[in-house]
Amino acid sequence: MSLIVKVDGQESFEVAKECVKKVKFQTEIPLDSNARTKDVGCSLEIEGKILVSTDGDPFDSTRQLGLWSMVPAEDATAYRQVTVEIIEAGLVERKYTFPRAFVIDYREVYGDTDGIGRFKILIKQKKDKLDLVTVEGGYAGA
Amino acid sequence: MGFRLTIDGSGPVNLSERCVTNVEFRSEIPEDSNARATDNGAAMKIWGKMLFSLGAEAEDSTVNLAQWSVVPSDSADCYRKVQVDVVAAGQIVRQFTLPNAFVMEYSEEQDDETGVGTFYLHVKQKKDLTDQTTIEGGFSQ
Repeated sequence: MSLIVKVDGQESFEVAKECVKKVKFQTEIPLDSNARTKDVGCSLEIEGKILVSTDGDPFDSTRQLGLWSMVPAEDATAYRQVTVEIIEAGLVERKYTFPRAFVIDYREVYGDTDGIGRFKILIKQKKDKLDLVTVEGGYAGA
Repeated sequence: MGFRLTIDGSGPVNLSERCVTNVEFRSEIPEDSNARATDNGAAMKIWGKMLFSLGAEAEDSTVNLAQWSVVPSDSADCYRKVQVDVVAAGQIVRQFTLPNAFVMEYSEEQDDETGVGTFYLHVKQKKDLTDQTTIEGGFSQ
C-alpha cells in the first residue's frame, strides 16, 4: 500500500511516498446535533517519517510541510490544495481532494537513536467550503 | 457472531461479516432526567475494516460511506436508511433499523503496513423521528 500526498498552491510539493506512514480522513459534526447541520468539518491527519538525506536531498519534502504550517493567516498561500492517493496493487483505492485546506497542527519529533524524525500534520478544509471536498476510489491508477 | 450493514440511498452500502467488526446501539436520554423524558435519541456506532479487493474484483462500498459523510445538509440524500443485522448461529439476534439516519462522525485510516484500512461510522436517527427506529430479533435469517 502506497500513500501519496500532494500539496498544490504557489509552492507545490509532493511528500515522498517513502515518508508517509499513515493517513486518517475524518468528518464530524457537533455530537449534540439532532439533525444534519451545516456545521460539518472535514480533516486529514497524516503521519510519517522525516528521512535524512545523506547525498543530495531527495526526501526533503517534509520540510515544506513545516514551512506551510508557519504561513500567517493573512497570506494567500495559507490555503492550499491537498490531494491524497492511496494506491494498492495498482488500484487507486481512495483519492481525497481538499481544495481549500489549512494547517491546524504540525509537529516534528526527533530522538537520538532513530536516525530519522517523525512528523504529524493535521489539515482541515475551510469549513464553509465543505462541498468542494471529494472522495473517490476504486479505479485503476497510473 | 457477525454483523451485516446495509445503507440505502444514492450510494448503497452492503458490508458483510468479513468487514464489520463492532457495533454499538445507544438510546440517548438526558442523564439528569427525573422522569421519562421525550427528549430521547437513537444512535449507532459501527467499526469495520476496508477490504480492498485485488484487481477490483469486488466493489468496495466503503467509499460510499466516506462520500455520504461529506454530503451537505441541504441535500436530500444526507438522510439514509441504515440497517444492521447481528447474526449468530444461523439466526438474526438483532435487527436495528434507523430509517432517517445522518452522519455524526466518520473516520477512516490507512497505513502502509496492514494493507487494509479501518473505518468508524457514527450515525443518528433524526431526533423528531426517533419513534420510527425499530429493534427486532429472534428470527431465522
